[in-house]
Formats: sequence, C-alpha cells, structure tokens
Amino acid sequence: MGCAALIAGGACSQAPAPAPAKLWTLFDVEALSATGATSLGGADDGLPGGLRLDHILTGSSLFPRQTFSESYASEYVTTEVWANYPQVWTQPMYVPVTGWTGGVPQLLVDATGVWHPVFGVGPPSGFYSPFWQTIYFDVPAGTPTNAITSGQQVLDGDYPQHEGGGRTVPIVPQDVAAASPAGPVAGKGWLNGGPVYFLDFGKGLFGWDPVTNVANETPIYVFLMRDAEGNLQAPDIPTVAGDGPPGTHATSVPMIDGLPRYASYWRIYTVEVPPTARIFSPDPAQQGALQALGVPVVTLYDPTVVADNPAIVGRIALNPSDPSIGQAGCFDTDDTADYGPDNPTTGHCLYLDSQANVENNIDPGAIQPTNITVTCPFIQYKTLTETPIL
Amino acid sequence: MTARALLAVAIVCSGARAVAQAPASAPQDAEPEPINDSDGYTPPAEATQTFTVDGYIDVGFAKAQGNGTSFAPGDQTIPADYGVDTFAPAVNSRGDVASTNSNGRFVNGFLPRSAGIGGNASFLLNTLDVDLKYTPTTAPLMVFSRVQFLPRFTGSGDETRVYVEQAFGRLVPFDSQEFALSAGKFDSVFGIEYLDNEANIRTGVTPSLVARYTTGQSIGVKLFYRIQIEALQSAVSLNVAATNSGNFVEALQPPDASLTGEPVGAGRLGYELNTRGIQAKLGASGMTGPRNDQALQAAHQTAYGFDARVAVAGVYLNAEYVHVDEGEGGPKTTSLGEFPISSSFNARGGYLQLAYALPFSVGPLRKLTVYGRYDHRHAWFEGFTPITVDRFTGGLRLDLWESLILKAEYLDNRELAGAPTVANNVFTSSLVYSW
Repeated sequence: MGCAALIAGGACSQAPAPAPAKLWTLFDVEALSATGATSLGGADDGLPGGLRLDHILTGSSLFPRQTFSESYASEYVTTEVWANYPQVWTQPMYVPVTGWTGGVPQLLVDATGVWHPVFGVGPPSGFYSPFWQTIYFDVPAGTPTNAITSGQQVLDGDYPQHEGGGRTVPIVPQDVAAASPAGPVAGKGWLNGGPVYFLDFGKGLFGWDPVTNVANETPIYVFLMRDAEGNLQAPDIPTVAGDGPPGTHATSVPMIDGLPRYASYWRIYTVEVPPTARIFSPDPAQQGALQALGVPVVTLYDPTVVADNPAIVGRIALNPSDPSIGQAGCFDTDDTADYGPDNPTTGHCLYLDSQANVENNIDPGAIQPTNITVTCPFIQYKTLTETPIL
Repeated sequence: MTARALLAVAIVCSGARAVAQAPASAPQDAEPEPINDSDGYTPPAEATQTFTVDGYIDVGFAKAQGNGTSFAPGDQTIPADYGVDTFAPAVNSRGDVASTNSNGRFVNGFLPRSAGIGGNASFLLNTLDVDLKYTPTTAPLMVFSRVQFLPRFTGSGDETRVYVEQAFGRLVPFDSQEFALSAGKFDSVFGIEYLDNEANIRTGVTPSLVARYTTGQSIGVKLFYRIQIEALQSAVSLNVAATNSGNFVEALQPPDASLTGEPVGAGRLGYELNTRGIQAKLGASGMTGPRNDQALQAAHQTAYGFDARVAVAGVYLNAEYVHVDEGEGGPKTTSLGEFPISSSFNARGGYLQLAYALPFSVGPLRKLTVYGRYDHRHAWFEGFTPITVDRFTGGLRLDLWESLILKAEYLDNRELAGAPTVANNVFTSSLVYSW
C-alpha cells in the first residue's frame, strides 16, 4: 500500500527531517527580544541552553562577552548566529574608488570624508554574511556617493574592478550602529538601492577559500558540566577563543598593527569538563547561579587568593581545591592559583583558558562541534581596544 | 499507423491544439481521445490495436551568446543562481539551457538542465523518445510509458541519461462519462503549457520563462472529469492530482519520491467553447502542499494561475499567468543534487503566444507557421534583489509530410531590473522526426 493511501490513517512515518538552516542577525535578535524570548538555538543544535539574547544585545548595545584567549581575558561581541549551516560564504562588497596611489585605493568619500560601500547581499537572506570580499571599482572623481547604490548598477556600469581583501562588516539596525562599542567604526552603505547601516570591524579577521568562497572556521569553546542528575549544563562563564583550526593545539594568532587579530567567524564547540574540575567562583552571586544549575561549586576560598587574583574568576581548573570537603588543590595559594601560562609553581592550576590547554588536557571525545557558528569579532584584548584595520 | 492516426498527428502538430473536444454524445465523430486529458499529447489509439510503439527524435542546432549562461562576468554574489535567471538561455523543448557553468561559484540548486554547449554553436540530440501504449480490449484501461534518452555533454565527458518521463495507467470506469482515474507518473495538471512539453507537439522550440513552475511530471494519482453542455457548445472540466512534487520541473523538485511524506495537491478547472468559428479554452489552476525539494512539511509552496487558448481563423493565441510562493525549508535536494538551504522564493510571470498557420500545402510542405511569444517574469529569493526579466521569441515552423517538423527561433532575453545585463540571447532550431 502506498504512502499516500496511508496518510489518512496517520500510518505514514518519515525519517526525521534534517534541521533547517537558520540565520539570526541583529535585526532578528532585536525582534526576538521584543517578543520576550530569552535565547536562540538550543539543544537541537548541540548547545544546551542555546545562546542568551542578552549576551548578544542589551537594548541597542552589543554585549561585550568575556572570553579567554591564550590565557588572557578578552572581549568580543556577537553580531550573527547561524544554526545548521555547514558553511558560510563571503559575499562581494563593492567599494567605489577614484584612483590608486602606490597601489592604495583612493576611496570615493562624501563631503564629510566618509565612504559608502555597496553590499551585494543583505539580511534577511539566508546567504547574507558579514564576511565580505572587497571589490573596488573605479569611478570618476566627483561621482556622487549616492549615485551607485546596488550591485546591479556596479555590474551594469562596466566599471573596472579590482579584488581586495576580506572585511568583517555586519549590517546592523541603525540604533545598534549608533550605540557602537569602542573599536568598530559605524557607517552607512547601500543595499539594493537603499541605505543600510553597518559596523566595520576591519580587515584581517577571516580567511576563505577563493574557489568556493567558503569562510574559514575557528573553534570557540563553551564549557559544559553535569548536574547531580547527570544532565549537561552550560554555566554562564567566559568562553575560550581558539587560535587556529580545531585539533591544531594552536597557541598564537597573527599580530597586525601591534594587536593580535583573532578570527571573527567561529564554530562553537562544547567541552564537557571532567567531574572533578571546578570554576573559580568566589562571588556569591555566581556561586548561587551555579548552584541553581545544580553543578558542583567551590564555596570556600582563601580571601587573600581571591583578592590577589581577580583575573582568574570564571576560569575552570582541572585540579581545584575545595576546603569545604577537605580537598587540597590549586586554589589554595596565590602562587598555585596564578594563571600565567608559564607558571613554574608545582601544583599550579591547570586552567582551561586557551585552545592549547583545552586540547592538551581534555579527551578529544569530550570536545564536540555544535551546529552553531557565530560572528564574534574581538573588541578588546587584555586591556587594549581592538582597533580595526581599515 | 492508420490514416486517422496520421491525421490526428497532423492536427496536433499544426498548432491547432485548441480545437474542439468531442461531445460525449457523439464519440464516433470526436477527435481522438487524448491520453492525458489534453489534445495532442500522444498519438491516439486505434480501437483494434492494443499495443503501439510511438516516439520521436529531436535534433537541435543552437548557439547562445556569451558563455551560454546568465551569469554576469564580475558578479561574485553567492549563490550565483539567485540574482540571475539561469533558465533564460534555453535551447530545446525540455528547457535545457546552453550552459549552467558558474566557473566554481557556489550555486544553490535553482538551475535547469544543461546542454553543455556553452557559447558554441552546436548540434544536439535533444531527445530520443519512445512511447509504449497498451490498451486491453477486455478492460477500460490504458497503460502508457514514455522513456527518453537524453545525450548530453557534461563538461567532463558525454553522458546519456535515460529518463522515465511518464508511466501510468488510466482507468475510464464509465462508458457514458468522461471520467478517468490515473495512477503513476504523469503530466502536470496545472495550466496549459504542459500540453506542449514534447518537441513533436510544441509550436516553437523552447518553453516559456514560467514553464519551470507548471510543466513538471510527477508521481501520484489523478482524476479527470469533463461534462459537455451541448446547448452552449461548451464543456467544463476538472483535473486534479495528488503527487509527490506538484508541477515544478524535475530539475527543481525531484518527482520520484516524496521528501516530506505529504502529497502536493494541484488542479485545474477549465471551460471550453467549441464552435465552428472559434474554439476557446479558459482555465484556472492551483497548487498547494509542501515543497518537495526539502523535508519539512511546514515549508509550503502554493501557486495559482490562469490560462487561455483561443483559435480563430488560423490564429492561435495561448496565454498564461502564474503566481508562485515558496516558504523557507530545510536542506535542499533537487534532481541535480544537494544544496544547503531552501530559501523562501516568489515568482510572478506569464506569457502570451500568437501563432498563425498559413493555409497552404505545396509538395511535402503541409503547413507553415509563424509564431511569436512574449514572456515576463518577476521573481525574488528572500533577501536578494528582486529580478525582472522578459523575453521576445520569434520563430518559424515547417511541417513536412506527416512526420517531420523543422523549427527555428530566436530568443531575445532581457534583464529589466535587479539582474545584471548579460549577453544570453539564443538562436536555436529543432528537427523533429516522429513515428
């Protein structure tokens, strides 16, 4: 009997449909937040709890999310989230130029000296991405900056084109652009004949395959702990940003203009930490949040260690101490608790605060890619603002 | 093949496809009953013959401008097939285009089949078609299959695809009624252009710009009913189907399996006026169901359209309007492969075709037909610039003897808005032998 004949009886069963690909831009995050939603993505995408909306946008402001990179505290913001996209592609960003000086393009600017790129694709297309390949095109000096406002005009105009580098430039709601954090440069460009607003995080933040236009991924690690019932929970602690492709135990990223240039396109990996690992969490509020999740918490700390080591808050140590149960460990002294990557002290903390530390100390089977990728350009490294390469 | 059958072939090949359907009360005077509810669809059956082998060979010669695609040089937008009309440079009745080579740029499955000739002038064997039909004398049943051999250059070599375009059985349970039930793989029920799918029937060479949405075959069940209203020299018909994939061509939605577990419903309500001076057919069609290029039942596609065919004084007018909406779905699978995203999509378009058959016969020349068609299509994928294109097609057709057709036409494709202007006009021709 055919399937169609069985439908009326509800007897037809199908294999589970593959999860649909979803892209959330900041337009979507704003809209979701307005409905009272609190997260996006979730367990179906391999990430328990999903991503908190208030860790992406707070009002109109991008939320500076803490992360550890090469053992140092840094911050990034999140501008796009993809679920079930095996890959994300670069798209063309057309930039009018009036000439070239020593190989440097002279951008067409308006009366205030501001450039206005023309984007090839924008939200809400599922193929939009903030990873643009710059395509310079030559226009006569004096061309009005609002004369060419669509990719079709660029192509139909037969302007000489010159391929440029990659640039991370999310198209964002106007209010988000206006509330730009320190670092990216807000601007206005064109899409399909109309204005759009963007944040320019600059060059050098991603690579791509020149044949397929697929953007390269870098891992970013989210830690999971098991509660008393054995369920995986995702505590609200800093992530760890990788330095290179998964499995490479990479330990550094390129330095450009005096700053390390971390990737802006990441795939989220979950890391299930061993049951003996603990978060350095002296703050009572954080302890309460962890206890609410049902994950093990260290509640007693030496006040001196806490006072002397504010930078280790939120890190996971594989060899912690827990005085409440009489367990000695690395949280006991300043020297052992220090996070320095070359800490010579015997018994020092083995923190999971870099890609190398994660991959060197965690069973590979406990490190799993999720179906979620994100645009997370850095805005701060240690105490330094990540100034875009423009 | 009998004289009556040859006459029928001549009629359907002459562009006179809008002629009257027979009143139910006078079947002996009727045009041969079409297999698939359409005039001219396949050669008719003889009452005493239970098994027939028919078919045709379509040999083409075509030359497209540029590289044979609609991809614009310098355009690096991904996917390459979202901002242009990849179906525009068609070269044959199947809608195959000269090329779909994007030179490595990512495409997302909104593509026709390719003849693989690029911008070169080339001979083509468009179709070798073999039709088998069996009509038992002991049951009101007809079994039909249409198998096609499609030799193509793929870019890396030659390949001949064997395609079962149709295979169905049709039951006519009541002698007194034009009521038929079909099951298997059969033609579309949407609109009218599917009637012209085959090269030995189509007036011109290439399908319209909206044929991709309405002319695909699929597997399922179909019901046809027509009632004659003799007093008004009219008839009203209903043709409905539940199939795997609805009416999209197989390059866009695979018909051979339901990817969602839920059928797609489609139908056409038609009115026919059959007088001595004028024949007219008007119809309204609809389609709804899950899109069959992905697996989510919630990702729906809907379409509706209107069509008209009028034949008067040797002039034949065909016109159709189609409105298509597709919701966003899961990972995409078409007959051409797997693609990551099935984007929300919308299209509105239609065509108007005029043909005039010059009423003379000289030697082997049975008929000379001049024809022209205007196509217009406006479509957009979510987040992409809507594109508007149109096309002027002009052509000439010679019917020689009763089994040979020579057609030649020129397609002037224009990008009106949204899509970059590209050289993608086409000259194409077709020599069709039928047996």
